[in-house]
Amino acid sequence: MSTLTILLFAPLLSAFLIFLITVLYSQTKQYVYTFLALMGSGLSALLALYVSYYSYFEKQVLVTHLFTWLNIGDFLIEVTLKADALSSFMLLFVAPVSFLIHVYATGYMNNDKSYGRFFAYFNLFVFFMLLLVLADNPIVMFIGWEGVGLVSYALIGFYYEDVKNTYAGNKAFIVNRVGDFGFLSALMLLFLSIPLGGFSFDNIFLGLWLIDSHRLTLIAFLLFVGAMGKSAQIPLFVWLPDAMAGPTPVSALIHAATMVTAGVYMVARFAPLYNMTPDILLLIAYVGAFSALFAAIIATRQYDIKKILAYSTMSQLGFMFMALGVGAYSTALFHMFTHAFFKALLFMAAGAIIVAYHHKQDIRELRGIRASGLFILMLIATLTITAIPPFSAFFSKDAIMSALYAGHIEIFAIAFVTSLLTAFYMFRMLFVLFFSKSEQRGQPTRKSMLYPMTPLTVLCIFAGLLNVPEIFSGNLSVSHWLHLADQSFFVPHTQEMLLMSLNTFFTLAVIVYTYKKYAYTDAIEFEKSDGMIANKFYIDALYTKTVVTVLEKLSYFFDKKISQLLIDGTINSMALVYLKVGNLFARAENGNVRFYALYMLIGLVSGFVYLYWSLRSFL
Amino acid sequence: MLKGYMILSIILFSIGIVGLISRRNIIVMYMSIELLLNAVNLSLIAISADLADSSAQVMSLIIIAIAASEAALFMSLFVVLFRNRASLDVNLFTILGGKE
Amino acid sequence: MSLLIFLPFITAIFLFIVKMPINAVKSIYVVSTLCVASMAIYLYVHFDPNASMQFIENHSWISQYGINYSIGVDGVSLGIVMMNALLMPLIAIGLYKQRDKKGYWIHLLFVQGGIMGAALSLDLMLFYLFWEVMLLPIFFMIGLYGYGKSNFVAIKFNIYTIFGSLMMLVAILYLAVSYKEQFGFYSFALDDLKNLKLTTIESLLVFSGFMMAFAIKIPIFPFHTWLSDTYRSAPTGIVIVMSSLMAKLGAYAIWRFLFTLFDKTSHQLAPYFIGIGLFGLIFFGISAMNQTHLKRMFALSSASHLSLIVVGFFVYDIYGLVGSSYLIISHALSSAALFLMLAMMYERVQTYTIDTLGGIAKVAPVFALFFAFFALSIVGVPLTSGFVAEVLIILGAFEYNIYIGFLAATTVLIAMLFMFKMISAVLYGDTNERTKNFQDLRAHELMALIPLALLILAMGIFPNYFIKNIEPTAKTFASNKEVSHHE
Repeated sequence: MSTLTILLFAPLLSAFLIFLITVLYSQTKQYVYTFLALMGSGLSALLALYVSYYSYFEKQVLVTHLFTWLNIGDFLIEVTLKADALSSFMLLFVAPVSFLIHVYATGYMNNDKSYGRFFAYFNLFVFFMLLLVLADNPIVMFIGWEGVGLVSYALIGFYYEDVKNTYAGNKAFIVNRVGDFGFLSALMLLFLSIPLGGFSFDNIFLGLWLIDSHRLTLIAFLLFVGAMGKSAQIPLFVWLPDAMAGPTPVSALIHAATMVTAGVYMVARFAPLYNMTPDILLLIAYVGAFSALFAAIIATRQYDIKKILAYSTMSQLGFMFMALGVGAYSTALFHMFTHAFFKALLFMAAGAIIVAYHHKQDIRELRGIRASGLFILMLIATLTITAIPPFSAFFSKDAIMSALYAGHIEIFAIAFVTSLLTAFYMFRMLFVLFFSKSEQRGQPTRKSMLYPMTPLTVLCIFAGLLNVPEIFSGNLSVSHWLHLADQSFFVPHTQEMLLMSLNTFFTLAVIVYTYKKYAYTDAIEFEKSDGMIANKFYIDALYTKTVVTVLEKLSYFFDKKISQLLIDGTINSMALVYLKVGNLFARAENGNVRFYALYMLIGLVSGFVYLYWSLRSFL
Repeated sequence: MLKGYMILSIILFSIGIVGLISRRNIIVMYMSIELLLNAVNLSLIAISADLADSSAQVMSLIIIAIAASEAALFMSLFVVLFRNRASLDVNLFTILGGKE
Repeated sequence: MSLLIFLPFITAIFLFIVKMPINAVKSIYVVSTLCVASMAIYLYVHFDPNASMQFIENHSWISQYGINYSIGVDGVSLGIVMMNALLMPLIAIGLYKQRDKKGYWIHLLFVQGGIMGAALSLDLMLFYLFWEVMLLPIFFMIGLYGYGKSNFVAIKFNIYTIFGSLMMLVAILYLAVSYKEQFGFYSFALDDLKNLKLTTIESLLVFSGFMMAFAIKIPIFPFHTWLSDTYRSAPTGIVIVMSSLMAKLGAYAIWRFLFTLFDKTSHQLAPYFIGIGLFGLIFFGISAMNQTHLKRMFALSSASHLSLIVVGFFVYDIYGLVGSSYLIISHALSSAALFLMLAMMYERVQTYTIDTLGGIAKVAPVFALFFAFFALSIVGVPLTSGFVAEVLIILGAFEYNIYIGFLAATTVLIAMLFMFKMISAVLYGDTNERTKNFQDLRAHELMALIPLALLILAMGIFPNYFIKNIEPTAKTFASNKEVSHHE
């Protein structure tokens, strides 16, 4: 058993055990589940730390071959786990953050009647995520990719007693699958375009230059469609806000730290391919930019605490895609790294608030809560997301900004506006929640929910130090470690300094403005909850109109009109014709012997006439 | 000579058929059937006399014998029918159509 | 191997003649089908993946007309044989408490024998015979034990299929007669008829004769209108047989007979059938969306997948072929399991209508788990066998043509459109009057479902082990015909 095998299968094993126990013996004590769940994810978190340590310092690649999945013709798919720098980097935050969220969830889900089921799904999810990260060929990666989508379907619809929750799950999975459609098609095309045998990432990148550029562009585009679905970018983002129907730990795990980042990971994984298709890169950058802006605008008019965070996730993912789009892959990944911490922290804090205040989620109802511990955590996370120095996201976001500045100035402008909006909506939430004349007191937060937040807070503050740019006499150690096919940018230090200060200055200005507007005022009450922005620019309605309704109409048309009316109608009417003709003849058979005699006579006469006619030449 | 017999036979046959088809009383229809038989008989005999071959005459004798037994059979059937329906109008007897 | 075919017949006749209580009938049914299953497993174990046609048996039968009893198995038919052998006992185990009519089980045995024979026969006349044998019991079963307007449906089904079969009979006879003209003696053997030389028009006509029978049986668009009515009215045993075995047999027969006999014609017609198949895939999938009757929905879903199987065969390369053969097996498993579960559900709530259900997950978690699992395996999520098959078919389709590939790839979307809505409506939400006392799965039902679930998982996780039995057949086929290369 190699390290990677244990790392991967520990969560699966614990998921399986929990599942068995839940099914076989429903009276199991809760601590059994807790123990198993934490063992599974804890073990893989520890090993993940070890693996990334190994990769970072020893510069070694761990490889484990498990078995041959498929071998037909040239289609050879090996299930091989491989922890190269990129995978190790992903492991570095995916597994530990997952573990922390597991710990948090033991508190959040305490005494829930489906405690066991929850952790079975949770661990299963971690398994699929790790499979996605560790896969050494795209097909296995796709299995993990679909797997996380599937488990997230189950987790979003976790409280299935309310059908609406399961519809949110359905939506998430279906939209994800639209992306998967692109991903799968891209993989098939890629396989067929590469004449070399084998389909591991290394082989693919070796054969890339053999593909003609149109085909390559198509492949890159389709891959990106997959990423759009998973990472909730325009136009496939609609599932993410709805996905908040799941319990909060689910949002923290899936919609902050792991699943949604898979799209970014995938694009970074295919970096050599994307470097050959500049058009698609530009498209990615624009999609990212508009998604970021779009989400930020919508977030300013949201009232549900989790929805605000959901849109901020989408917006941050937009930042990552912008970075990917200009070819700054490691920068994007680094932002993903810091994002995992602060977004997990934000969701955890939000979850703690929700639990403490009787499952209220509307910030208008939660005004003036008094919880100093949570406030500090929330404040740190919010400062991090708005990229105030010296918090970690400052480093990552600033790197994105300077890359954009060097690459595409118009995208930079969008990013700049977005980051100001980020400050606005995040602090709006913070001020409305904590700075109010009214006062609410909730239940104290459980220890098991508070403890996992502490390491995250520390990471929020200090994680940025891992990749300090040259300007602060750092050496970009993460970027060097990842060693991706980054495109290089050069921004003079003075300009970069100026950029940072400007950014920080404006952000602070926005924070002050927000404070003036929302702290200790009732401004939030006067905001209108209708209009373009609050209705998410009617995108959902548009999709319903154009896709859902059309499909239902089509379904009705196909089934009722074509199948039943046209085809079945034709066949039945053929049968009917026989029936009608039969009836016609049957009418002659009236049972009256005289008529039968008449028919005979007619027959005879016509027979004779025919005979006469044919024999007339002899007569 | 033969021609005259044949014409008579055809006329008799036609009368029989018309009677069979157009009359509604079973007894009259039976009489028409007898007429048909006898028209055939007549032509058989005439042809056999013409050909100087007596076998057809034997056949016609057999036909007459059969017709006599038929008459007995028919009459008894008519009696049964009349008991059931109190009428001998054929339009009432459409059991063959399968609708009763 | 002949025992595989005739044991069901013998048992059926025995059951018919001897009078006994219904439980004994069921037990004998189970024992006999288990025997068949163990023989099939024996066959599977001794199957040599490197040889193509094997276990061949030849006996002369009506030899003056060249009709012989000749059977054999290869990688593709092995799948159908295995499914036929495995599913039949599971039906009885799963429905042990239901169906107390002796005739039901006798008919099922006849069907099993018929399907087995049709899958194994290498002689066209023999094939036709078995093909018909499996139809008649189905006719009676729908009429006798069906729901709703079962008589009407039985007649409709029968007229449809008999029509197709007659077309095929004419085609078979035509082939034999032209063989006599060319070679001087009658033969119905597949291997002989392969050498027949026919003009384009002739082979086109004969091809369509065969195709008519298969198309109706599968069914592909537009011969599908018997399908949803029949599935709705037919008793479960028959629905399982039809969706997981009979329909697959149609697809298999296309490959076995049409591709062997009319290589060139089927090659020329392939684009049309791919088109029809893809259209059917999307058409049936979308049609299923608005169904409120569960059996009708699954009927259309089956049809949608079968269209994909047809596409896989007609794209004419190794991936499509292996993928289709794999989908035949995997879809047989999933749909059989789903229809079994529907029957179990019907026994409890007496309804098939989606709107009247809901909240089952709350009261019967194990049932919900299995139901969701099988539904997902139809959708083809990873780690289930459907995924492997779909990936391969899509790969084949892409190799054929990139646009065809995209259309085939929509299969990952199509099934979802209705499956997830259905799962939500049936399993989730709150319970209602009907479902609040829903009893969870009983032991014998679990006994029937667990093997299916395990097999689906195993086939999804370790496909290579299963595919290695299909692949050589496909490879031989592909290299013989040189079809894996484009013209």
